[in-house]
Amino acid sequence: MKDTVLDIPAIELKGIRKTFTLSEDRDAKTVLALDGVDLKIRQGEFLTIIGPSGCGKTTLLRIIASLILPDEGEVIVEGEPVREPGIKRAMVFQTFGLFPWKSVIDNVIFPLMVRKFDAAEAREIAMKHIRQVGLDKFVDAYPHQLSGGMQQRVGLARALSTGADILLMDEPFGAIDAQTRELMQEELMKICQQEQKTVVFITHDLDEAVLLADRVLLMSRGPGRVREVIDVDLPRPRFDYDVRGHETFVKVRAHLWHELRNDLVEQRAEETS
Amino acid sequence: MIDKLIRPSVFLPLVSLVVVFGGWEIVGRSINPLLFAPPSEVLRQFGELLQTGELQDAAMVTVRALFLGYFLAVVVGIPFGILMGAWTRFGDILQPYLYAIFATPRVVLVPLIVVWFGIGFEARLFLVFFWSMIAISVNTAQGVRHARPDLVEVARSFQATRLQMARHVLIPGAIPFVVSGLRIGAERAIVGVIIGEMFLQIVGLGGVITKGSQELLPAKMLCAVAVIAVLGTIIVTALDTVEKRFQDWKGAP
Repeated sequence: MKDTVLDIPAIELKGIRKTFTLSEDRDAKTVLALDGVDLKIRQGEFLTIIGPSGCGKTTLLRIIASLILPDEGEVIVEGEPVREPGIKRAMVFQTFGLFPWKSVIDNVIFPLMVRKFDAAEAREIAMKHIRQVGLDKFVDAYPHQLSGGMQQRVGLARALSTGADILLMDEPFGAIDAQTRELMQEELMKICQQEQKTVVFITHDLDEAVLLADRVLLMSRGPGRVREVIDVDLPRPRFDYDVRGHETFVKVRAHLWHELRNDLVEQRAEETS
Repeated sequence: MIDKLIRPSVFLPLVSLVVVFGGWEIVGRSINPLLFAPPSEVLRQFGELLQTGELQDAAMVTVRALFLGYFLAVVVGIPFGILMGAWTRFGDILQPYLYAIFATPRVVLVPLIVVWFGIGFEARLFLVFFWSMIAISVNTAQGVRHARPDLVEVARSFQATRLQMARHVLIPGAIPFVVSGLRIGAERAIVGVIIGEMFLQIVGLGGVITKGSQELLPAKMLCAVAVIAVLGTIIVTALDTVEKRFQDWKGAP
């Protein structure tokens, strides 16, 4: 039975287009952010999205989360078209998005409380995920008492507590110092492997994109399009050997950098001309 | 004990107090007693005013107008501020008047208040109410309007209802601003009540000051000033402490 379910993509994007209006004036300038994005994301897949800044990565993720609607096209989650945020998708935010007035446990419980879970049951679920991210000693701490890395662990625990199969992560480690980031990448890979999550992960860090991914999606600079999707054929788990020294890692990274660099050089030329 | 006294944070204020009050006493004794009073004279006057009950009565009058006016300002000001913040058009309509009120020295209202309310209790009450309500409303409106968009989005992504959004995101987000408004409003209320007592009806602690000046009793004026200072300090310090407690709630966006 599992096999028939697996045939359905976790997420399917069909011809996503999105235009933004820059000001409220009548002769407002409009900017095409996404120009026809088609994509299928397999169940249990770890997909990273990389591209030059301003290529619409975050817009795309917010469309997948139904936080904004596309002008054209469809988002299909596990076979069903969606237009509103839903229980199957949980988001992890770049700036953590923790409520400063709620303790760690209350932040993690929030999605369950919103869905009217029984209080004791919600607490049990939340505690399980707080332990999973290693914050059991900080259950009653408040976000401002925690480091950036710890705050994002709370963000991750909160997303996990929803029980969603799909995690949408918007540069989640971008605001975290380099060493903590490596540790968290490892832990994220462990958790996702254990729990069989489908992950869409935005990053601007090439190493991170290749290290985490089953596939890397490279977006072209604005208007955002899918430029290339590259398989990363590296054995898992990827933290008990030197992944960065692996031949495939080096090859994929070099290829991505070559492509990205062309875009950046062009962008720079346009800006200075 | 000695160790504690040696610390600059302890002995500097002590030294400062001794020097200032000592100097005041010396200078005060050498000046015409109709114009200035040394601390010893103020203290004697204080005892006298307490004995006759004049100071207690005056303080009661002041506190009554202050607390009732401030209470009304809070009860009206917060909902009004929420309305101003939540309903942007309403805020836009009120904006020119609010700016005008902020830019105009508020004493110019005093003659108008006399025309509307006379010079009695109601007039003083209105003065306190109006001065502090504006501050409370404006700060509350700011708090409502400055809901952090990132947290609103978080709540939306987890499918919070409108009610849940208000309860868990918008209201807690506005609270630090409301508390700031309460502190500023209290400061305004104190100024308002004293102005009313000095220039409308000569009663209360403000009245004691005015009377002291007319009777050429500087010690009496200074007694009232001291009581007002202590009262004001207690109220503002208390609200300041509450305000600081909520600072973390603003968080980094």
